[in-house]
Amino acid sequence: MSILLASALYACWAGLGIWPVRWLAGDRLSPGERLACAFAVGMTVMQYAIWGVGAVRYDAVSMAVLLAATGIAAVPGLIVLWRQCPRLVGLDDPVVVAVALLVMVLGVHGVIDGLAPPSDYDTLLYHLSLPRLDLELGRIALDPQRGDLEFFPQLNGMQARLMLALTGYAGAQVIQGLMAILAAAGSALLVLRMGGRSRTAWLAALFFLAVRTVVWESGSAMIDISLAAFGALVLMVVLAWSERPSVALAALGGVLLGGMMCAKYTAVLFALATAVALLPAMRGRRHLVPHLVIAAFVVLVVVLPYLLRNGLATGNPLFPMLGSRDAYASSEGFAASRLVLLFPDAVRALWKIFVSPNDGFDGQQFGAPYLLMFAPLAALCWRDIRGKAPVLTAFAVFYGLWVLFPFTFKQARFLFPLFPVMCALAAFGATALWDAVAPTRAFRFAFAAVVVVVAANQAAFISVYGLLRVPAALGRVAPETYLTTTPTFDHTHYDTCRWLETNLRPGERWLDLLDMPSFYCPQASRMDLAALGDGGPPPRWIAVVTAMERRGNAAAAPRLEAMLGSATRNPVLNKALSEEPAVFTGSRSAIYDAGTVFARRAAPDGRP
Amino acid sequence: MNMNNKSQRRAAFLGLGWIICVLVSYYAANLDYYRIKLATFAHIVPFLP
Repeated sequence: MSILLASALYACWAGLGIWPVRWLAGDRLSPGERLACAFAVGMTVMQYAIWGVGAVRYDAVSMAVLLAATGIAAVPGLIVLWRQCPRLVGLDDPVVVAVALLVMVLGVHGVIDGLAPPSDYDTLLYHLSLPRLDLELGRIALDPQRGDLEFFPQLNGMQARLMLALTGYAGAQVIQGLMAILAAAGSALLVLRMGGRSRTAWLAALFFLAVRTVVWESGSAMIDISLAAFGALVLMVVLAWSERPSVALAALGGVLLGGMMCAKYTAVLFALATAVALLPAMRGRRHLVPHLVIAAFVVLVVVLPYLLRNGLATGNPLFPMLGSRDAYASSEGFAASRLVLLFPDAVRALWKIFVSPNDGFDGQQFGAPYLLMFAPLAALCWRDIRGKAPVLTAFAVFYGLWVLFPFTFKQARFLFPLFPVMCALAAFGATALWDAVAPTRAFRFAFAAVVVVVAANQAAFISVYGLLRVPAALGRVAPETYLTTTPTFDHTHYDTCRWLETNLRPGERWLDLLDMPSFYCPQASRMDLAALGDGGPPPRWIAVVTAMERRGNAAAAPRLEAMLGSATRNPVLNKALSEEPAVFTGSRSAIYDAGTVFARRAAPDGRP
Repeated sequence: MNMNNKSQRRAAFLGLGWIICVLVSYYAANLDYYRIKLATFAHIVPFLP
């Protein structure tokens, strides 16, 4: 049902989005490109429909009515799409068929992974817990008590809210699995727009879906994949505009860039990169300047509701960019991940993030370094690639901004908008190298040997995720077993949250001293230490993190590290907790009776 | 890709050299990572159905 309803949502996007895309793009885009853009434009429109309806009433009924109404409105568009259905290219080539099968397997794998109970850090922290808070409150609204995270733009968050109300967490995650397929299609369409063959295009799609962090995020509610999808489509439209400029096509680019900014503010940097990439095309063609002005205006209109909301609430339209109020955001640990990289570190980072990603970066996000291996080899077919100047300029400028700007994390996933370009160039490089080695048997053998090693390595990465997630996704493993016994899933606190759900009565609140908010816990009744003495009812229960599993030893053996009360940073409260018996003890956390703790050991504000 | 035989062999040689260089560098830099991963996987296996 979750996959069915998520597919219905995508159909709504396409059916709604095809009209503006047809109007703006005309015959400047191919049927496949128009379809891909229709998904993105429809998604951009749909977020505001969900927001508008949810601001009045947010529950399963209102979301079902909204989905049904948009489904009916999308029917004419879907009929048009059916009549002009783009065909898959190159399926008469056995190599393409083999690659297409792998693309299909990875695409389906990503979608099925989404059915597994959420275990991803940011998904638990806010991508699903904030929608759950709104669902419990009955309407979509800002709750500044939840900190900066509430103020991020919600392109994906709104779609997640719709699916959460209708299907629970599964649908909210499945839309990201489907988004990975759209981003893979965007990578392939970018290759075709750059003059690549169908074999190269399918390879780019495969390369995208095999990136390790793409596989991980496909089964979560994280939002970075949509940046890749929108980024690929923006560059595709930029190339189409460079070939045959039109005001309408520039406006379509603006809609896509605006939608991208509604997903994540990193897109502001991508918009700057795109603008710089277009400058060479403007040389000697001043009559095209209004196109860019109109595109920029459209971007502003699309993202305006978020700018107004945040501006009115905080005085800063781009909040929490350029002025976070979060104590953690100004901490040293946070700042360390926001380093500015200068020459030569900035150039060296391009090597290190693939080759030694555990040294200074966030680990093996790409897996085997096949993108670094093949992308530079696109130089072998340099003259055959069209539109490389704007694409490479956008790549270089975005990368430059990523390394230079102190408010962007130096994490691989913040490079998601560039993934389609990397995959396209790697696909060009791999096919060009194959063309070069094909005539010589020894070279063919060496090429095949390297490809087998890399493919086996990446397959191992992907298989581990599949082995862990698919049994839980298909109901072969109970959520409790999956979430409380799988290594590295410490943050879910599933058993403790379920206990709270059962034992918390209406009107009661609970004090959250877990290491981070968990999606599985009740949200509206949650309070943190800062809320003690806020005039509301005192907490009935206290949920406390008790241990974390560490594997940072030579044998990677699991070791539980006790950390009772580490989240309180309050020695008096910690002492009280350590002396009271827990009323429930979970795998990584426990529940205490708040009345007993505070009455015997500490005042409600934590003082003795 | 339009190349004559000589430039094609040169491209193949350079291309293979580059991908082998990247691959060897990657495994050299991540020996410990893979050793620990394999050990971790051995611990994960009992959790699988």
